[in-house]
Amino acid sequence: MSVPTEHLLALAAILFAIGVAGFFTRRNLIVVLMSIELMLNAANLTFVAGSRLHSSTGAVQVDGPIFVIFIIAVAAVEAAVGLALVIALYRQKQTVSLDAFARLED
Amino acid sequence: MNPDLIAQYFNAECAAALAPLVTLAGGLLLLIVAEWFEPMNRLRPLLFVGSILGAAWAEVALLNAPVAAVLGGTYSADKASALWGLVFLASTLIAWVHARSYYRKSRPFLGEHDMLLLTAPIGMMMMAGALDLTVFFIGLELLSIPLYCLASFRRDRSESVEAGLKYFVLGAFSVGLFLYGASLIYAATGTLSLTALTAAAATGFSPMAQVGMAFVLGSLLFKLSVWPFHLWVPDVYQGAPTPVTILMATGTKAAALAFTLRITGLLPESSAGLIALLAVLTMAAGNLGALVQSNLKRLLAYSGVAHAGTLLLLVAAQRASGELSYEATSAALFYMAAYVATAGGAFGLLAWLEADGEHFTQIESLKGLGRRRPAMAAAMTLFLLSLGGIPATGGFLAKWMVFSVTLDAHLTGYAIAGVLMSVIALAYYLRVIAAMYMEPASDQVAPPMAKRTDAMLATAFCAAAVLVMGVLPSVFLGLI
Amino acid sequence: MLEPYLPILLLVGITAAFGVVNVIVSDLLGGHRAVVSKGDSYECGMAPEGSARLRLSIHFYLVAVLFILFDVESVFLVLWAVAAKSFTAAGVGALVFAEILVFVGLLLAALVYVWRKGGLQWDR
Repeated sequence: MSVPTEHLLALAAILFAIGVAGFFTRRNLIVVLMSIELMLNAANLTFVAGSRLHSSTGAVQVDGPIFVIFIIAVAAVEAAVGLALVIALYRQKQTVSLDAFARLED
Repeated sequence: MNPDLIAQYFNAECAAALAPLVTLAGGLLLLIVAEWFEPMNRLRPLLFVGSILGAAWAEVALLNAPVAAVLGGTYSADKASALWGLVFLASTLIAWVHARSYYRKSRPFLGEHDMLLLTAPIGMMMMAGALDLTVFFIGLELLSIPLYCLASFRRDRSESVEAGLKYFVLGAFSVGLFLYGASLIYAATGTLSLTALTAAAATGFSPMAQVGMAFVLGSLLFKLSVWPFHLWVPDVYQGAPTPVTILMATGTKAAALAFTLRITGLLPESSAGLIALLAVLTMAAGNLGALVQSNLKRLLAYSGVAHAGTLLLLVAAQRASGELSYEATSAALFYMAAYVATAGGAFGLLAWLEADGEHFTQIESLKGLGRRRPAMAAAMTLFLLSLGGIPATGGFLAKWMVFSVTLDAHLTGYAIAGVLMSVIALAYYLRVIAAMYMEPASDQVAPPMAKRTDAMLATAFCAAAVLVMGVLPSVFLGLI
Repeated sequence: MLEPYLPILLLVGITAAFGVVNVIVSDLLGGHRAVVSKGDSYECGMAPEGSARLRLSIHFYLVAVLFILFDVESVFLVLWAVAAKSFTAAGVGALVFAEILVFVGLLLAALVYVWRKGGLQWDR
């Protein structure tokens, strides 16, 4: 007896929705980065669930899990670059809020 | 050992297909090693140009003996991919040449600059050749992450940091969209291979796969800077160091377009009209935005948005007509080759002027350039005319090819709207030209011009390419 | 439909009960004596000193990021380790091992680069 795959897909959809909502409503850059991570994890979960959906005993669909491994590696790199950029912004403006963006015009 | 199994994946075809990628990656590794010890730093230009030329040579070899699909059908090195690869390499080399004196000598981390710049074309080639969503994703990240860093490379300037951060936040969001879309497609169909997906799409996608496809398309439209995902473009292009802007404006757009054309088969047939509508709206947003700009980099950025609209028309035409046609591919390649030469040349001139100590941010500061630096002003005029699509330049023929493909696909109304938009675009290009020649020089004294053989060669190359493409297009079309 | 979640519900119940029971039992059996130091914040038994809101050196961040990057790359090694036996059975074990060696070599080149650039130096 195990958790039905539909539940995994639904959980992933909820995670993705939380991530998108956080991305659009939060002003703190660190929280924005966390929201993006949530979106990536929703994709990870869907990939794993999809692999289970299309696997049968003896023939495991590995495309999805392999994609997940790459997403994990890339997410780490993105986090490193993103945090470095946030620190650079903090050095310039002493804040990590999106409000720090001056309107670049002319 | 089991030679048969190995030969299935690693054979002469595979070696030929991956040669450009491996050459660039090898050059990248040598660049890292060159940073180990101080005296080896001087090898950097040699390594950079060497790997670009080596990769270009491998692409030319592929052009003569194209390879369909290798590595279990995940990567293709057909003729179009090889030509895209040459476009990417040219764009990277132009950006690098202009970067050489753009940053002052005292700027630290110039070795890292070259490494990041050399990573970008690897990603672009993987995007253009991907036959599998995983490969495309890795290519996308290999392109995007170096660009995030390069856009904020001038850490001492707040515009540059803000440009990098803005590009990063929106880019990471679009990658999130792409990944969730890809995962939905995978959960619905159980495959990530574009060949299998195209076959599945022909019999109709399930709603889940359609939603996934919408997410994937959205993230591609973001990379292509299509309305309504274009608002980041002016800010990022303006804030980023100008040589980096060259790469963002030309290479990234080409790579995203190459992949978008490849996946049009996955879109529902009814979407052609919608995409064409988006294309026209993008052209309108770009051209109307450019009309009111007084900053040159922003003006060129909005003009880039307008060009993205024209290219999207090509995507719509291909969706409307069904399969990947030779005409659409050659139009896309010709358009992007011309765009690399023109936009690369125009942004390159701005970078050159900036490196010489003139502050060329405003159109006003170009006043009297025709008298101060006649050759430069003439080159700038040529690039602007080509961007505007005046006959006898590469830009004219590129636009003509796109509009004729659109007409063939029976999207007549959209093609006419596109032509009208191009006429509007002339207004702001001519405004810049008028500032260079008609208006008297401001009282500022031009700083002494440093001798810049490399930048001169790059600009001359771009100008020659624009002219040859306009007058003798068969030289380029013969390759396709 | 929800019965697969029964073990999870049980686990949550047992953990919650464990916590609650411990608090109640120690409250019932233990003595009660109010001392000032009991109200203090706990810092490994030492007297608390200074504000908790220090600014940490940026260097911690650099080390943490380097750790994360090299740490995550090891995921790819785990993949190889899991599949190594089946590769050997298929007769391509040596080739895949060579590929992994190349991968580790690339990581080493990057590590030497970080070291030469002073990224591993603590006191600067």
